[in-house]
Amino acid sequence: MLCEQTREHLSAYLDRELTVELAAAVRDHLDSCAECRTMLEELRATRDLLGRLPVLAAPEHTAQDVQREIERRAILAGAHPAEEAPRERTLPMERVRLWPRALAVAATVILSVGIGVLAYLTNERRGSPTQEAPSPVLREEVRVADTTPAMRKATTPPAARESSPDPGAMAQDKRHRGLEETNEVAIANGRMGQPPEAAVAERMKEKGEGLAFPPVAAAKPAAREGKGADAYFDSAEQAAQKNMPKLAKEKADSLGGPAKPDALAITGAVTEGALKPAQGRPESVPMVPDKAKAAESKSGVLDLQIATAPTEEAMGGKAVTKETPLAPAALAEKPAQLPSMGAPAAKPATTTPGPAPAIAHAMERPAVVPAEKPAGGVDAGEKRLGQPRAGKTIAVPAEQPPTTAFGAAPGGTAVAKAPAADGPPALGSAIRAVTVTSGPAAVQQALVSVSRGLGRIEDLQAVATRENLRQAEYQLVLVADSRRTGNQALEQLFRSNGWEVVARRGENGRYAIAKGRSAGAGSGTGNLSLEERPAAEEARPTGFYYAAPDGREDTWVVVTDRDHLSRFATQLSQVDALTVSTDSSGVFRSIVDLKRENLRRQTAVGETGRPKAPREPGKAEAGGGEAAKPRTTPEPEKDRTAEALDLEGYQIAKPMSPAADDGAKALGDAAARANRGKLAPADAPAAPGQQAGRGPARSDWGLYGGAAGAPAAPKAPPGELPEKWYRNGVGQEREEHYRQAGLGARPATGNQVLVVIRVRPAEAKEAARESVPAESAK
Amino acid sequence: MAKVVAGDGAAFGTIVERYQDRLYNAVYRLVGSADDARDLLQNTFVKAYENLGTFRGRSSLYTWLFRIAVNTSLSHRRKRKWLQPGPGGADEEDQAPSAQVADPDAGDPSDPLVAAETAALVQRALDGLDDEHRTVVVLRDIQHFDYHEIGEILEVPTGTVKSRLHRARLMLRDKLKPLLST
Repeated sequence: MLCEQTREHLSAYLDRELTVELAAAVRDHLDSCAECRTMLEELRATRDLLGRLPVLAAPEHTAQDVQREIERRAILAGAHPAEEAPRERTLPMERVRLWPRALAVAATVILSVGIGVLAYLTNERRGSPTQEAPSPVLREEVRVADTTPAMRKATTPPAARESSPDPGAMAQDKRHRGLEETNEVAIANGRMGQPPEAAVAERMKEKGEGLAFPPVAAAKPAAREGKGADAYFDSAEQAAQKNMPKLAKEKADSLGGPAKPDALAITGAVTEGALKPAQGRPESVPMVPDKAKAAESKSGVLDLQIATAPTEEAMGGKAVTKETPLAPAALAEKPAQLPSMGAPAAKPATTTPGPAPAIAHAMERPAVVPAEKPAGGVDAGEKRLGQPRAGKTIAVPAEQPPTTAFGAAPGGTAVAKAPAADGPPALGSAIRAVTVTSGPAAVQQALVSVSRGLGRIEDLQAVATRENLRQAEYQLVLVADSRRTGNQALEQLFRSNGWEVVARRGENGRYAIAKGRSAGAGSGTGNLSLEERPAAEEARPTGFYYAAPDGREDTWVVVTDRDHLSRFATQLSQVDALTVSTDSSGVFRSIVDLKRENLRRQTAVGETGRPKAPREPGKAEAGGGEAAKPRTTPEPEKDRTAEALDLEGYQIAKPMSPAADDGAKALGDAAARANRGKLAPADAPAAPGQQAGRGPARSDWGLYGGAAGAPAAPKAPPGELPEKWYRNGVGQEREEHYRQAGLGARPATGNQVLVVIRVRPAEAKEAARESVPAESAK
Repeated sequence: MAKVVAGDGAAFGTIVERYQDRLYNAVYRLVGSADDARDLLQNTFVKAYENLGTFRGRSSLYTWLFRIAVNTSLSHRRKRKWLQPGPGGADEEDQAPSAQVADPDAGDPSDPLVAAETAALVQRALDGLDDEHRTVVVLRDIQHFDYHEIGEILEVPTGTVKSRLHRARLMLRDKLKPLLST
């Protein structure tokens, strides 16, 4: 064998990777060639240099960090790792279908993680606690970095760590020197670069099996909640002691039940407290649900207070189900979503029978359901509430019945605890939550979360994808001379309805929470007292300004209730600056007819007053009667089918029960209080029967319900409107209708709906005008 | 492993515990930055968790994790190079590490300071290699995979591993010649 050939094999010879024959040939050559032997020794020395490099240990808390990241991605993706991940793995088509959403989520994740990591690293280098952090995620990371000694050790500069030879490295080195002895040894050493198994075992023993993946770690959602809560209260205790009982009483009263605090508040400086261990909180208390109580007794700080739903007894034979259609997914989903890695105790509660623990959310609208329905249990909750489309009902085991405990991250970043000792009395354990993780309902949920200061714009953006918006049931396409004038007219209409724009896109292309938005009595939302806040928010629709990616239109995402939507539609028909395109959903397309009717009357009779909402011939009395008197019994299915073919299907803004009606009235009154000082709806073209300054009233159904004396509207041709627009009824009745129609469950969001409004510029107007009757063109 | 694929979070936690040090070590040697290595390690495990369904058991879990780690690290390096041209790139490569060895003969390899300095120089020499050569050296001489396993991780034939490794060692030998005498 020649030198050149031999040298090509020297590395492999060194590594015992040659065949016996080839190795023998190389050995023979080496015996006779000093130059090649020298080269072999150099290669050996080089290899040994590499082999003597210190073996670095992974940073502490790697497992926890991995788990948090997995959870975070799961939350953002709206997926349930424990349940959906396996399915996604086995169904390739499912994964393909999820790509658009995944891409959107990925963008957000990258952004968020990037910011978090940047802040983390910055803070780590600085070595001082961050005084103010832009996001809960960031704050949490900062805290872990600052308060955990183990983390400091882990983040020691590599050079410093390398400088101290650790036993593992020495051992490896010794092993390495004997590498060439036999092939067996070489193979064995193929794993010897690994840290000693004993060290791993030792570490796991120290941490406890699986401790690296604690079962709950709901700190991030809790911290996120706390972010918003910080804006509202000076301290959690203050909120709990001052406001909670009042709020609870008000809500309980509105339901006709005893004055039990069924409401909840997510309060307190969760992350603030986390950054101030000097306040007496243990620096690093691994929080798991069953340890929440212990932490409570230790810290004495009310971090995140979540009252539970009252028991059936407390509500006088009525079980109150807390709907959380608008709860931040991070809050409600997380505990059950966790992969619960390494934590046997953290089994998702979806398999837990018995009284359903759950997570209630602040300011949600309670829905009264008959007491005979099974109380507790996730399944029961789903039955009552209706499973949101592509959503989940999840529950968390509540070891302490009155407490909805969110375990915090291993660092003890956030703690959710029961009400303070002098706070509201403990309530039943049956609480449940419904969260929506995808589809338009997720957008709705995120938007309302942002409007309440509980959610982040980034999360809203993540779910406000074109796909999700396209799926929204209410699509309104408006055409204006320009996008600017259209937006202005639309916003004016919003304001006249008391709607607030909670987020809008700025000149820089970024979204921001709208400044100076008010939610009652001219004060900013943050200043709104706790007593006023829920009612005002219940009644106040929110808007979200969203720029369509294609740049040809602007998109407004609005969450409102059907009553407001009805009134809005009526008003819209009287705004000349905005033309309703026939691209709109059916109910809005009928505005075209409404406009035509208005114009016809104006030209034929003259301007005699405000135009009235048209009514279908022969339906005026029935509609008015229903408007004045809530329907209490569901109509036969055949009637609803019949309704699905005519305009009566729009009469959907009806309370589903007397109790709910009372609740709505209470909410309306509260909304009226909150509306004091605001621009009254009467300042704008008002709907028939509408009262200035009032919240949704039963007579304000405008287009849908109409008012007595309203002129008859031409009946829309049957079959012209999409079937979905005839999903009439509310609550259980609607759910039943959906179920029977095989349309799947709808998110039980009370009376609230998501409306996607698109404003298109003049270029599209001509085309739209063609669809408008000739009268309107005049 | 079956438990992990079946969605057993606890089992995955065990996997993280078991492999984190080895993966971190490899990633650190590939990217040369502790901060980056920490993030990349986390990303590796997250990706592994998200892609457990694609793991078919043809290779060992260990090599599969390394494949993810290597790909993640190299991708990161490429991005970093693209974002920050200059430092860490060709400039460093051209710089002879040997020039920074004050007096190789004076140093006692058992001295921690000398060992640290040596380690830094070796790491620097590693950083000076291109991706494919650095990767194969790290996998073989630091992680002690055999050629077949390296071929699995990098998805290249064993012959390619062999030739690549040989070239990489020769390059390192040239860069580290002053140290070899010690």
